[in-house]
Amino acid sequence: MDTRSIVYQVLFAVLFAMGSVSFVWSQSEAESVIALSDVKTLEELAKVGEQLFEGKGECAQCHSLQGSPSEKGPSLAGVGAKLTREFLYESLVKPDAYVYLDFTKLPPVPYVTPMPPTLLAKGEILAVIAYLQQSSGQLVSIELSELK
Amino acid sequence: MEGAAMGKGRQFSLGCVVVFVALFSLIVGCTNKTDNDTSQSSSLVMQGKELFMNYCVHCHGPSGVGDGFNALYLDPRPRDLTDSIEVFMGDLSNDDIYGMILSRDIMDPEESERLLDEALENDTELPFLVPPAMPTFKYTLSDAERWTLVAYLRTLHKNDAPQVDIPATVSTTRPIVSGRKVPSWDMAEEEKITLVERGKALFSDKYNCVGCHMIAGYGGKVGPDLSQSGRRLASDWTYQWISNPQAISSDTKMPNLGLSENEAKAITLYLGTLVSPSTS
Repeated sequence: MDTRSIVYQVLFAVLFAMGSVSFVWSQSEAESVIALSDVKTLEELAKVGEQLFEGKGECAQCHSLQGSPSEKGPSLAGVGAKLTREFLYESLVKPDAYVYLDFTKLPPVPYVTPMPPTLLAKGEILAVIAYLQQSSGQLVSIELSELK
Repeated sequence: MEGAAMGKGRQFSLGCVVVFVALFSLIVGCTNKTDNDTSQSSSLVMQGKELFMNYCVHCHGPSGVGDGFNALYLDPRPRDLTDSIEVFMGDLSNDDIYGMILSRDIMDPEESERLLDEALENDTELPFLVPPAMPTFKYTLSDAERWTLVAYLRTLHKNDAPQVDIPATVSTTRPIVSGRKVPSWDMAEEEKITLVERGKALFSDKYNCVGCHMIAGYGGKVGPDLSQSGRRLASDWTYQWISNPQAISSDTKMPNLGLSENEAKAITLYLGTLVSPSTS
């Protein structure tokens, strides 16, 4: 066995080990996901909302909460304080009812990609709203009883 | 002999180098000096231009002739800052532009409140509180920033005004409106009706908010259509926003209008009544 093949074998082993570790790690991450039905507090509800925002809800594909300008969609920094709960709900279900324009453009124009209606269920939408409110420094105005 | 000749040759080239370096540094020194002068004024102009492109361009247009996209929605039309048809800007002094236009004083809130109440009580026509359509930038930009705007505006039209020079004593900090406590929205229905009416008059007649915001198909397009603000916007947020937009979004185009607490409350209540669907 020459040195080169030993090096390759070691390299392979290291890569394999790294892969396994990250797989196990991601599995344990996945386990920490809270199910909406298990939510006991408003903090947990907002946490579920964050997971939906980043994941299944696909909100983060076009929006950010950091206030950084995006070509795809308006920044959602502070919207939990700015917009009423009812309007936030409507924006997810019927996004074309009121289209917020890109005011950095002269004249302001709609964003290139229109927002599609969300595929999330009612309880999940409320969780996203809870997350938006919490990250805007607001009290979450959603009651856990509404999730049922 | 040969060595001495070499020495002379070296001395000569060394001399040439010394003379050349001296000449070169003299030239560089001179050009640097003029560069400093022009670069100082051109940097003021550049700063002013940057502000112009954020706060003025939508009405006055990129070249300043008054053809911004929002000009269409304004009456009177925005001023042609290039004086292409009539001389107006060219006759103003730097102090005029700085003081009367960019730092204009809006009528004292108590005075306008009194006039509005009087008109509402006697059921007479509401007074038109501030004639020009343009907002003041006194509460939005620092003194120095408004001077850089003067410097830029001066490049747009013919004038004999002296070059703008900002003394070191001019303030470079933007006016700060400390965080306002949101008022209580609980009140008797009658008080609310009065405040809503006052808010509406302030919105259209004193601060000319319709210059930039559309309501039910009437108004400008710089900012969002407010036709549905009653169901879209949270009152606490609206109050904070109109009191000090820059505190929430530092680079927003909306100027701080210097609203008093009562004015901000009245306008917030008025916006809260708007629920009609947008027609734009």
